[in-house]
Amino acid sequence: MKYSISMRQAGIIALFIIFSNKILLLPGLMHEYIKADAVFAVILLFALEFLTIPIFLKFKRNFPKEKLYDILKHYLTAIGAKLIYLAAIVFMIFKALLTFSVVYVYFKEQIYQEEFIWIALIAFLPIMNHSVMSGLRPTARTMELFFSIILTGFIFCLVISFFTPISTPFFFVSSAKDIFFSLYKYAFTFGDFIFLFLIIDKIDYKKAQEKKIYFYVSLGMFLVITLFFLFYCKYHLTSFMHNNALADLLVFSVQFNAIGRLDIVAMLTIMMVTLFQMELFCFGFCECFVNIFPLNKLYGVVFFDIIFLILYYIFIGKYEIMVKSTVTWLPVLGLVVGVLFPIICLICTMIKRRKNEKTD
Amino acid sequence: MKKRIKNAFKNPMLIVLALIIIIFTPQAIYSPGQNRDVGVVVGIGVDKQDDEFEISLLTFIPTAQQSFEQMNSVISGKGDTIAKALYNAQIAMGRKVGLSHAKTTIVNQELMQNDVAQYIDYLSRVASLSENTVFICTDVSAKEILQASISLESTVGLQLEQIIGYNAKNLYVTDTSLEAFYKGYYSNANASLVGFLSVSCDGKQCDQSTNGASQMEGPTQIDTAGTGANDISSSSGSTGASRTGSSGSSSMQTNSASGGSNAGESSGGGEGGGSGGESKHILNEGKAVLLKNGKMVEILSVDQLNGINLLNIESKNQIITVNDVEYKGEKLKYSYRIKNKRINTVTKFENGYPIYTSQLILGLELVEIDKENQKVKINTEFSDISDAVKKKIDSNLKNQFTNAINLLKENKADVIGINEHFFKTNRKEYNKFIKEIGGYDDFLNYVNFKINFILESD
Repeated sequence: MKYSISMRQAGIIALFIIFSNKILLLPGLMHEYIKADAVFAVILLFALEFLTIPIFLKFKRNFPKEKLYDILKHYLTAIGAKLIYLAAIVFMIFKALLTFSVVYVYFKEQIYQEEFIWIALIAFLPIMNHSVMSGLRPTARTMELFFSIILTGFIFCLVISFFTPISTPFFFVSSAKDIFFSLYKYAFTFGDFIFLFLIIDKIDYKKAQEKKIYFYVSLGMFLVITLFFLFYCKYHLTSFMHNNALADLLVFSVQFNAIGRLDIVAMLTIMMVTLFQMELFCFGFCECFVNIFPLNKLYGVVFFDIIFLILYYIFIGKYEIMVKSTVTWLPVLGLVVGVLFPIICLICTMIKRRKNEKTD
Repeated sequence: MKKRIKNAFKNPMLIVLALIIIIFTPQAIYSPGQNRDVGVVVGIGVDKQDDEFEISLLTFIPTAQQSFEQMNSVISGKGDTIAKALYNAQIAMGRKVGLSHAKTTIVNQELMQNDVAQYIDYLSRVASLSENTVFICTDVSAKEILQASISLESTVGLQLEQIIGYNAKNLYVTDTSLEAFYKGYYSNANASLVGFLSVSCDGKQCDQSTNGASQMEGPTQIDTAGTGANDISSSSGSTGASRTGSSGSSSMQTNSASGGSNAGESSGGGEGGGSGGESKHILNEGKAVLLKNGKMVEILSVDQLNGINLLNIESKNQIITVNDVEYKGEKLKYSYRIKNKRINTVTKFENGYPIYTSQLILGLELVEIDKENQKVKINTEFSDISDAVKKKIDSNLKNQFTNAINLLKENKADVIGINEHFFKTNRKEYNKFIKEIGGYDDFLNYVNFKINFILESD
């Protein structure tokens, strides 16, 4: 119990992982490919993702105390479980890299700095590492504490857009083929619910509180869809030029521009959301790490930092390459984690249920 | 106590926190203010002479003083590319250029002879020029406008974006920001509308062509190695006398270079301009520039803008003047203001051709009666619009609209969104028609406009 989190906290975590990579770059990126029809693509992707929640809850009901690794090991052998964890570890590190890269570029623009990578890393890494070392419960409680502030900031950014002229964008300008292909193309930016599966043994499950998870997941999805819609309503044809959707909604307003740096609201919101997301990705990485290798969490954190820095500087280095990767080879990983993995979990649940029924 | 400290430092995070405080606190205290490194640019101007660009930066320099007056100066740099010119301006300023607060971007009309998007691409994409900056075109040099704006602000408290903001709200009835320019640029019609300002010398057109940036170099000049010279002209701008007047439709003039000291000289660029201390004023005649594919195709007058905006529900307060209205044997001139507007629009395709039918219900208010108006009182007798007046107003408005549409057809610049309207309401037929005619550009030429005015007294 000491290390477990409540269903509400699990819901808040789910909401934060829904935000990952979707509130800054993604709306502009998707518009470049399928224009405002990206809203439909996002709705479809969310619909698919939403199906993961009942699968997760069923899985939790059937395996209330077991660790994910043990369950997978039981049904898929140790190698199968390790392979899934390996996919998850790559997913987590690349998600963290993408989130960090996008936010770093955003802040670089905002504070007129050419390079401040070391300051950014000093600000992010120790807090992230400390949070992971402290365990999931303190992290989730911190998120719970800041949740209302972040939600207020997010909604404030959305509401401000109503004070400037907006009009419905043109929908159905892309072909159905393009829309469906975009589901694959942007698959990597979705599929984050794997994190809930990774921490399944740490959630203090209560059947009556299942609706809390549904509520926070629906809220997160609703906010992201609203963000997409308002962003396209505001920018129409030029959406592709705007890389920081949440901030740009707030900033582009002739009236509010007079107030000066009102964008501080967006900056603070994005900063807090990013910090929590990075903590979750790092936590997810370490959770996989300790199961794949016979090492403890401290090693996991150190490895995360090293791999993160190496990938950032040597392999990825350039922001453009990182973003391009998300639509070239990373979608495959997104599909494995976002679609294949929940299906595997569903099959495991069904086998377990059948076994239980036979035993009864 | 020692034990407590020892225990506290067992937590690695505390050590990290202590290290961060130890390293960064002295650094934060001793590092200079950001305004020493970054120059806050509130306006940017782009000029071109021969093959050389000149970037002028209206910079705000935060200085401790007892008044609320802000210190502005115009700093410029030349180069064979925009990037190089901005780099040279940066050297001249001695600070990094921060363009996020640039509320105004002025481009000389010479540049608009070619696709202007290619010139501002670097500024908006790389140099972080904000997209809500007000985009202005000028027939003189952009630098000159910026210089004149210094005292405009210090004397009457008006900023360039406020002048254009007024135009945008009341005349253009559309946003004229860089974002709006891009929206038009990337639309099917590839057409946009941007504001237009000029400079007059003592109420007249300036003698010499001032497009050349070299003609307006301020009193202080710093030459830097590389291409082009950069000059700095600084001004407190507080010494210029101000005067506002009206000529034509609306004219906003502010003396910018009549004061003593180097301040007045440089702000308007008057003496630097070589016209013997002639004071220069910003001239706002409510004009706008029509752009097609980023190139300037027409400078629109207020009347043309009013014609274009007849179909815009937001466009109100336009004054319509009717001459020779007979009243008790006298011929009077009536002026009406459009007080409110309702528009019912139906678009359809008939025999394969697009038909744009619109009914405009205009609520008119009689605001002035000319001709011995001391004797005539505006009362209920006049507030009813007679059939003869209605006929004249109808004909007046139809002419205005026809002229405006012809102008747009001629330039293939659909800035009123006729393409979008058909796309929204008759998408299938519209797309088919576009295929038949081979592009969006000619669509406006095929549209039949059926405009019906219903005039009501308000």
